[in-house]
Amino acid sequence: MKFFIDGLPVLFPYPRIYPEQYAYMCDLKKTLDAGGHCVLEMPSGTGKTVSLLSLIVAYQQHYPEHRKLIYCSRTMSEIEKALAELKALMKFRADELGHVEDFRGLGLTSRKNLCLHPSVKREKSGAIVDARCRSLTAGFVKEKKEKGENVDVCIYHDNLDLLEPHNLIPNGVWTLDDLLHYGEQHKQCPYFTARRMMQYCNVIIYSYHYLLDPKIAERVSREFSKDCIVVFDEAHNIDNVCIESLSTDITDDSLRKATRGAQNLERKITDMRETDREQLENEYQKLVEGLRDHDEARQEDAFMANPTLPDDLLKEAVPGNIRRAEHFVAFLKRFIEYLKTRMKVRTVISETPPSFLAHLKEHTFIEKKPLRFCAERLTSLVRTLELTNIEDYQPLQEVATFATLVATYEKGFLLILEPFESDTAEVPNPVLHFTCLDAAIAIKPVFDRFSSVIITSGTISPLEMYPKMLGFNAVVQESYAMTLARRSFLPMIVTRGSDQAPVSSSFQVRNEPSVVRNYGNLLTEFAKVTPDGMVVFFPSYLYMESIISMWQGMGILDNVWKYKLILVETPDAQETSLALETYRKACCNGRGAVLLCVARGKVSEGIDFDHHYGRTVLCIGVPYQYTESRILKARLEFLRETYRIRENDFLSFDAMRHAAQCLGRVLRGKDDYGIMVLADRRFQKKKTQLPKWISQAMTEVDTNISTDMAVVTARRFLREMAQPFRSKDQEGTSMWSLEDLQEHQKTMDEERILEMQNEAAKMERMQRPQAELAYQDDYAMN
Amino acid sequence: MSRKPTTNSRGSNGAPSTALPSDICPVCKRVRYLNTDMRFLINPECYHPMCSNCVTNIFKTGPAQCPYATCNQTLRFKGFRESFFSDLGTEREVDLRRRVEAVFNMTQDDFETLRDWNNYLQDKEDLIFALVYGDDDERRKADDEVLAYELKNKAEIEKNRKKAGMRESERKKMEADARAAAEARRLEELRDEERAKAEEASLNQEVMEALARGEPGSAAEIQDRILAAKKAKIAQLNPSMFALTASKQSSLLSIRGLKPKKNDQDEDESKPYDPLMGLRMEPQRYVLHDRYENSFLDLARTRDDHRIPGYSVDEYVSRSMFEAFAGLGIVIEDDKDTRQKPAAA
Ligand code: SF4
Ligand SMILES: [Zn+2]
Ligand SMILES: [Zn+2]
Repeated sequence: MKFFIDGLPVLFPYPRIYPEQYAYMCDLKKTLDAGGHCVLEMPSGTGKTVSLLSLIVAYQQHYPEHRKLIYCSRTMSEIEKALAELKALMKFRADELGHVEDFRGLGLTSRKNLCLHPSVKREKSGAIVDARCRSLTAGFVKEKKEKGENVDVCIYHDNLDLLEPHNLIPNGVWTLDDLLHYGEQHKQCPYFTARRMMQYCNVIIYSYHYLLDPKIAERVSREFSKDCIVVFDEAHNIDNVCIESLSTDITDDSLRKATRGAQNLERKITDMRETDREQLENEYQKLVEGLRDHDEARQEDAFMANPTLPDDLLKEAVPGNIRRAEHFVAFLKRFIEYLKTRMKVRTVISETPPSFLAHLKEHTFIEKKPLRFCAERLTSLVRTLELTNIEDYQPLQEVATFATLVATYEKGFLLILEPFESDTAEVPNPVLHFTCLDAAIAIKPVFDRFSSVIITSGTISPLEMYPKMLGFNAVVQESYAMTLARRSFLPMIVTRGSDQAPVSSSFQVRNEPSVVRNYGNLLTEFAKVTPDGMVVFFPSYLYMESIISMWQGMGILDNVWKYKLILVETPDAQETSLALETYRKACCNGRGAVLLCVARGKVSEGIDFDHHYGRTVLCIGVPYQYTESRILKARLEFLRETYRIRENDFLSFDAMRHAAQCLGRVLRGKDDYGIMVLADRRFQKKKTQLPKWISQAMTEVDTNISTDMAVVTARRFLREMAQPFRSKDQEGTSMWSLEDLQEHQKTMDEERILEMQNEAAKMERMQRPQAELAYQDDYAMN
Repeated sequence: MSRKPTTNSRGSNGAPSTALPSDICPVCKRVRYLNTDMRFLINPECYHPMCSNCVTNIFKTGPAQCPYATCNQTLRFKGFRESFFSDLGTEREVDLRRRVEAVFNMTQDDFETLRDWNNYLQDKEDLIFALVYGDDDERRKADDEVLAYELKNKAEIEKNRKKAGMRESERKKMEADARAAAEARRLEELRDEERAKAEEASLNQEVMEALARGEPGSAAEIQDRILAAKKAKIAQLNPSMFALTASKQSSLLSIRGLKPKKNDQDEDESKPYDPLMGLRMEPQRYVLHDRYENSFLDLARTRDDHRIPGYSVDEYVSRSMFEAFAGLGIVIEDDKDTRQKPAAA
């Protein structure tokens, strides 16, 4: 259908639209017009992606600027879904408009998924695919080939050079599969096709990392202009992604490998000095002059990109004491030896980068400045030496990245050395965590560079938290309620067992038999009433294990077994996917199943339990993080000191966003229905922290009920849901046709006019008494 | 006596690229497994590692030859110490580096251009490389170079050393201050939280009491009433309290990243103290004449009832001139720009 939002023609590829979709689009447009960032929470299963795409594409095509859209999502499957939606949308637009628009949409993912090279693509690990590809495609390989030397190249890559650089692939929307097909047909590498065409695209869909991980972003995303529209979808975890992209862990093993890498470099330098002195001398001269051109420093096939260096520093010459290749390698070795010595300490140490640097300087005479250049210097050296087996230097690169980061940021980072894996471990296994505490550091360049950044998810409450943590200002902050023709989901907070004893997973009571029994009864009762699938979330693996074994002892599992198959998530991905498959089968064939899983595990994040795959979700306990972790403690302290976010506020926020994620798993559309049970006394106070669409659907009574009452309510709910429900019933309320929409727009307009009139009238009323008063004054004066 | 551990080919005194042994003493072959407190020591004369037992046995009574077969260094007990690095090559390199750094201790500020500074750094590095990896000749030459430089620039080196020491202690102090401030803030917040909790508890208590007394209204109404009364009381009693905490905080704030000030006076104590720090007071845009002819000033110059109370025409003239030129050269537009920028950024 086609409609207008403030004069912008929007083509929406479906004949009906949800009211919240319309509201979402209006706010999006407002943000784009105003030029600023926004945070939007849209209930899950209400077509967020399609509304987003249709509005932004409409916006792109309507206005002459043709602002590019960069759409970031988390997982491969989400990226594929978005690409498919985009393709459908563009097809609809073409049908509707009667002509195909000049438009190109591409998705990008790692080489591992896009490689066509017969032997490279068979590698298991992504890092190795990357490294092998680089050694086939690096600039010097081509040069050698041209000189007639016998070197391995990738034909898929070299074919690209025969094409026009801005027209490697025709217009249109290309899903990842399309891209692979096209690449196979034309014998051109899909990965590099997508990467090089990025500048000439209207829409790019890729993973967060291409924008957030500074090591990658620098190479992939630096060409984009300021007016791009950036969207982070499923962004409820974006702060953690930011933090992870800047944190590294260093172990004894990685240091050992780094030393080996440094020794290899040393050997290569000696070799080269004998065979090709000139090359080294050239590099040296360039470094002396400070004449690195940027493109070289940030080439697409660069061994690694510099994680942090701001442009002004890039223009500065490399410090004198690491200009010579052998000096630099000795420098690296000294740094690695220092780290090895630090790793021998058998007490936990946490220190700030400045104090680390001071200690480092005292013992090794390594200054901060050359350290900052470490990553860049290493890249240059690797290029000069024309190394091909790059994967061997990965650990060395990690150390260099660490060096650069630690010397660049004084604040927002912490070094934590943990000599033992756990408090009880006897054998030391030291890990040096270099952890980023400030999510704003990684994302700041994005906010600085692009005028509109849209952060959106199904569960992103409380909205204020994100601007605070990520350090930006939002022009629009909105959470949408879900319009429903019938009450299609039932959220409840169970605070007591049937015996009226409170239930909670809090540390003091979590292992008390009465609590465990009450949780067990809850499970049994819901297993009885729920048709087909049911998902249960625990706060942690540890707790899940202990409670399962206690249930086993109490005979609860045997009881549940009568009604449902029991399956368990494990940390092992393969086992879990097997369990999931079985679960699905059991749901389909009517046996029914319960899946016991963890609120922070894989299942809670990426897997949907739509329709009969999930009719009840049961959240046992508040999914708090493990607060004894030193990294978490440091982060909490940082948040308090820097952003004035209190520990408890953050922990509770974090727990609730995971709980909300879990709840959202069962409701994936408006014709879906499901029961959501939060079982912990402590949830009662946290109701306000749930997304608006969930908390609004919760009646006051349902926020504090006991197991038996919950079961009664659930039964009633399920009976209602069993009534026939036709899509006609939704029309007008939870689903609008074009007429409904126009009706709505008309009333909105009228309301606005009325409001303006009221305003005017009010003004007048205010003015009149004043005028009268003045008049009276005048009169009195006379 | 024992097999000489592998050294690299750069001569007997060259860099031993051995690692510190972890389990077996290369001299007496004792094993850590049986002697858990075994420590390994080195002597910077030759960097050959041995266990502390061996060191006591061999060198306690006086200088002796290194027990390593091909090593003919004479070592003293006092020279032995633990190695910071487990790689002894690095240990040696850093020792040599320490010596060079102590002599060549200038900083970037001492150089005119970045390029000069970088060249200096490289020269220093070359020197260290000669000391560490050079053959006997190169080593000797580098050694002489360091010595010569040290002799020639003794005063300069000492001054740089002092400066570095000062910078270091300043940094330490700043760090300690920052830590103390953070701790204080944390404590303050904890106290606040507790206070808030106590307040809430006492409020509940009061509400209960009020209810028991049979005051009119629901519990919520009573609570609101009590809260309002409390707020009024606080506002009345100590409006200054909030200001106080605020000011306390700001005094704890420490500023980082300031460039250390150029402070020539520190070094040159012979110069007289200048309270205006070199600010020049004489007028720059005009020249003050000794005498300005102006008929209405004549009276003031001559009449006793003006002169005797202290009226000075010169004073008057200089002030008038100052006022006439004051403000020239200050462009308000420029000032406006700089003030607006931080707000927009
Ligand atoms: S260029 Fe493309 S096809 Fe060739 S190895 Fe690299 S990713 Fe694979
Ligand atoms: Zn010796
Ligand atoms: Zn010994």
